[in-house]
Amino acid sequence: MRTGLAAVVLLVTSAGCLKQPDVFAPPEQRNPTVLDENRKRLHFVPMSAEEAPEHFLNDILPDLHDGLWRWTLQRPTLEVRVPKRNGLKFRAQLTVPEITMEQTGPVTIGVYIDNRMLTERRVEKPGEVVIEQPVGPEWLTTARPVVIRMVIDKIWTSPLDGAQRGFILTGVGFVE
Amino acid sequence: MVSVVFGAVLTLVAAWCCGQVVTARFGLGLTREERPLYSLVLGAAMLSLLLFAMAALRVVSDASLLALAAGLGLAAWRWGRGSNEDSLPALPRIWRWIFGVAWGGFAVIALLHAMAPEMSPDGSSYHLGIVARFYRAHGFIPIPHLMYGQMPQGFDILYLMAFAFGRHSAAALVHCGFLLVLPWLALRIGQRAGRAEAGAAAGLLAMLSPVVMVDGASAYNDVALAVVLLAAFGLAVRERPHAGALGMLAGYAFTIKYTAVVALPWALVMGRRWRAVAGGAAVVIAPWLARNFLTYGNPVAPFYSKWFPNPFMHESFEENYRAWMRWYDGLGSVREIPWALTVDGTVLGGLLGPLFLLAPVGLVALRDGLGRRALAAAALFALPYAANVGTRFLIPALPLVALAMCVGLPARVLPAVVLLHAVLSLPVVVDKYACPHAWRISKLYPKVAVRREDPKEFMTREWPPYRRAALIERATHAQAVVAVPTPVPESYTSRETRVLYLSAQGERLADLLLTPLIRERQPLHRYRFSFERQALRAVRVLQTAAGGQDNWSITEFNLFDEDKPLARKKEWHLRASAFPWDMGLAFDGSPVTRWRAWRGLRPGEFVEVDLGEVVQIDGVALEMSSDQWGVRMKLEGRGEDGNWRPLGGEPVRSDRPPPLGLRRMAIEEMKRLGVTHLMLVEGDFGWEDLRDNEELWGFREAGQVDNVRLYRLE
Repeated sequence: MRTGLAAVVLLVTSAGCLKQPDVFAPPEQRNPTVLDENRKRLHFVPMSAEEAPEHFLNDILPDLHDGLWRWTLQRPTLEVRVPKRNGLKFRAQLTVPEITMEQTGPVTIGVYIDNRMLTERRVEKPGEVVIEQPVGPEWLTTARPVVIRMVIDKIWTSPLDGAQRGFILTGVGFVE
Repeated sequence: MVSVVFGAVLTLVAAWCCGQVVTARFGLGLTREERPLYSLVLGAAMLSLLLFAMAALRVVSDASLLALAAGLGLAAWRWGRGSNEDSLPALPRIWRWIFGVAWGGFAVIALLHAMAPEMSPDGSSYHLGIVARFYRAHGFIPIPHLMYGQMPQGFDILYLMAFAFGRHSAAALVHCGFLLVLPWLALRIGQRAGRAEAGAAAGLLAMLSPVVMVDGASAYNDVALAVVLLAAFGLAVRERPHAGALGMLAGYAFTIKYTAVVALPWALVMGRRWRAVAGGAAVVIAPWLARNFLTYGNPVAPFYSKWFPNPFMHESFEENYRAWMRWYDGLGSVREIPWALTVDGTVLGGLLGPLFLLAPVGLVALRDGLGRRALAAAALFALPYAANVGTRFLIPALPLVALAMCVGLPARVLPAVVLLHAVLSLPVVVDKYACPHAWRISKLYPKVAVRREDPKEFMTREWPPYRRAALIERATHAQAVVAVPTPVPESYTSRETRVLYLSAQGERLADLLLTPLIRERQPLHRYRFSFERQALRAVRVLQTAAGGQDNWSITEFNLFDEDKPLARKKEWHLRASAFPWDMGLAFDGSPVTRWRAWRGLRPGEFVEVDLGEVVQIDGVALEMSSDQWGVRMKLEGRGEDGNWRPLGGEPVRSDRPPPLGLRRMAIEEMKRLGVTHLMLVEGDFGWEDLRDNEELWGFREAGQVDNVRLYRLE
């Protein structure tokens, strides 16, 4: 009986001292070690990405606000690179703020891929907008950058200094 | 049918033979009415140990089990014949009728249910699923990817013998044997205490209770536990309790269900000679603790991973699991529990019967010696109920609650109480007042119970879960490993299943499947620490926030020198303060895998890279998901002097694009973990995406039944 009891006590206490393996080596690498670093252009451009400005072609203002978003003008244009043509969706995350809509009223935002209109979105109320649209392989190429242009039909003009603004852009490009 | 009965009878008789030897050797001073009952229960504890030894030696086979049974028969014949004490006082005639009719009637119901194909959720999935695995492997095999496989199987291992010959129904019949013994044991305890009517009534109140009937007639173990604890109580209230036997039963209870740990201190007090009690308990408990320690690094696996860290269970799972069990969905407030427990039966998974609303009258029994001890034991055995409010978790204490009630009530009302309970417990009557979904015996299938109908055909027709198991069996190869969102009746398939939440690996599989579907799990944030270029031997990131439910994770951990990432080397040593076994997932280059702490935020948690040599570094970038808002981090480095010092200040966050190809990568990782198939139920989160994007995921449909699809990973 005593032996059994001692065995239990020893077992429980020794389990508490069980040394867990605490050192591991890096495993077999699945992909390039830094995600997306192997491509010069991203397939989707978050406005806060370090390399985002390198993608801008037109009408996206350089100042990053709240570490997250940038103002556009009327025809924000940028180029992205897709590593494949199938199974992708166009996606834009943007905001039409109250201050601009008070002046412009409802707006329409068109999306063009390499100068072909992909879709159009009517925005009736201020707030966040996500435009997501499947894109067939015929719209895309892997051989060169793909140019995305968004066009807002009405643009806000500052009554104070005449500065113009389109909408707030958080991210745009292609996703699965 | 013959094989079913043979398997069950063989097991019960083997246990009884074992017990005959034990009771004779211990000299328990039992009457001829008591001895068969205590022999069965003590014998079950001993048989459990013998089967444990055979399973540990991997010598389980039909032949070895038959040899064991034969050996036990011989042992009982040779050493099991002990002298019995005088008879117990006779039961009044009216009670003989009441007891005989009620017990007999409900015994028929229980036997018919037990002999029908096993269709209980837990019995068909893990109680017998694990037994079936052991049987196929001729003994114990590690089951690290299913938490139930890590629990001690003190009672379930008896099913191994029954299952070998009669499969599922034989196992259920073994449990049913304990159900049928329960009232007799209560009766004998009452008779010995001079309260025969109270004992008989208590036994019937407990046995006839709808949840006890369905549990006891299924391959569960709650009723067996109740019987073991009742037998322990019977020994404990004797004038001279046998401390060793009492300890053995208390220990056996612990090996049936961890929650019965409360019986150990109780036995130490009641047994008076604590060393003998502890010794008896240790003999039964130690093998299971040792198995778990040697197999899982945790003697009380799958629980207390916080104390016994291991790669098989996450701390966060245990925290969540305890929270789920403490409160069931649909339960509004504590005040709803009595009604849900006794009448409704849906929310808490079964009902005790309306008569148990009278349980507080048991307090009247405080004026009686037997009643006081029954109440004290019942209160103690019911303590674990706070950890799991399901009705069946009161079963271990129920016979003693019933005994206290019956001791407290006037003897003249007991016949009416029992008859009323019997009527209210008849399946056709329960249908009138209980919720339709309450777990109970609602229908009997005598034709298939006596095997005048093929059980497989019957289950295919009547029971959708069986069709899922059959689909797995039909559409996969022999070595298939199937990831399933919820348990399937694994005992009906020889394939291994991995439930997506019942183990560390299961949770990792779920994380892999959900990451492509949920942006918050994807590495969309980069935290970059920049600092003056310097020679460092090691770098570590510390998490500094406290509290909250967030779970710190890092998808990729990269070191930089002059804006170029350092190539990872085998010589690097990776360490983490929490769940280090997954450390490599932050260094594998995959955006779909991540190291996770798998516990709430604690300041001081760290992830460390020892480079094995001094290397010039000027930056660290962490790719992380956004489902960890509470995380705060700082960076430290260790130079040639061996001292840690802060590097850089706050990390700068930038956003990253959602990685492409996550679905395919998730499936590739699942394959690395040995999974070959994935089962999905329509309506599960994200099932449409999986259905519509087979190409992107990289699997093909292998079969479909009802609303369930089975995919083969390609």
